[in-house]
Amino acid sequence: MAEIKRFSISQIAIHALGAFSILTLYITGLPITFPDQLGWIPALLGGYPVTMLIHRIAAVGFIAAGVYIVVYHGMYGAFAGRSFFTDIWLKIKDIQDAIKDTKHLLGLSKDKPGYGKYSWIAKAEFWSFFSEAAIFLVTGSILWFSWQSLAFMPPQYLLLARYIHAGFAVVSVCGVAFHSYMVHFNPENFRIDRCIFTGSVPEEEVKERYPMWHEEIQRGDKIDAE
Amino acid sequence: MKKYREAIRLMQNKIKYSGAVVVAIIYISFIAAVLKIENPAVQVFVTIGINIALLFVIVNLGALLYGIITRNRRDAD
Repeated sequence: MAEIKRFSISQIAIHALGAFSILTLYITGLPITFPDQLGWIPALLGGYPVTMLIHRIAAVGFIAAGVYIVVYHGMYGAFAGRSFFTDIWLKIKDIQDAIKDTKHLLGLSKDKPGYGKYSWIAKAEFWSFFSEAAIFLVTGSILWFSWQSLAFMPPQYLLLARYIHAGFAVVSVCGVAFHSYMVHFNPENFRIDRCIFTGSVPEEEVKERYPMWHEEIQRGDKIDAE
Repeated sequence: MKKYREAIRLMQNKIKYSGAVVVAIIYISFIAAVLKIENPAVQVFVTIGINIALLFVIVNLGALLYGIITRNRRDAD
């Protein structure tokens, strides 16, 4: 069966780094927000100082992944034309697809939208995660360099940064729970959707799940995974 | 191999909705935790829900490592 390239090596690597970092950040960060419920994790890791150290190392990995996505794919888009950002950019069609999908799920319509390379759900997941990452970067930096931050902001801003950081972490965990459902529990993918690791998808699957992307490939348009 | 695939298919049908229920429990427990509801029964639910969320995160980490390790194995499914 023919396979179609969906992700480049660079995308596979950056997903691995970003996912590994963010999951470590949750494991080490949530016990600080919910010490009554998750106090056993710092105890297991050797105390709060060790937990915070792991949290900061993971934060460096997460920032590196974010910077890489913006710089590499941004530069690729600027100099080589079509990039990952071209495919993931939100379009009017995504809103129409979201409405169509909702109607289909509610049983109001039999039509299912034909997705391009990335469905509106994948795009919403990416952009919500991307914006959350920017918030984590700002608030996390304020908290990490708290003494330096106090030089140019009042102490209550630090507390505000802490609330925002923790609040968005909870929102982000909920996003990851949804993402996990889609790639693990969703009957189409159960037990695991492996394309983010292998980088390719069987052509039959592309035809069925991403018909517009398949049409694009058939037309011979430039399909660049970078 | 055929038996194994059949077992997976059966499990898939069972897990179809239970996965959604688990995600819903996580969401509700986080909402209850943020709202700081004092009821002891709710607090037990919150503790269970947040620990499930963390378990979810750990399982995901495992799945990520599994995916990376078995990247080149065609029969890994």
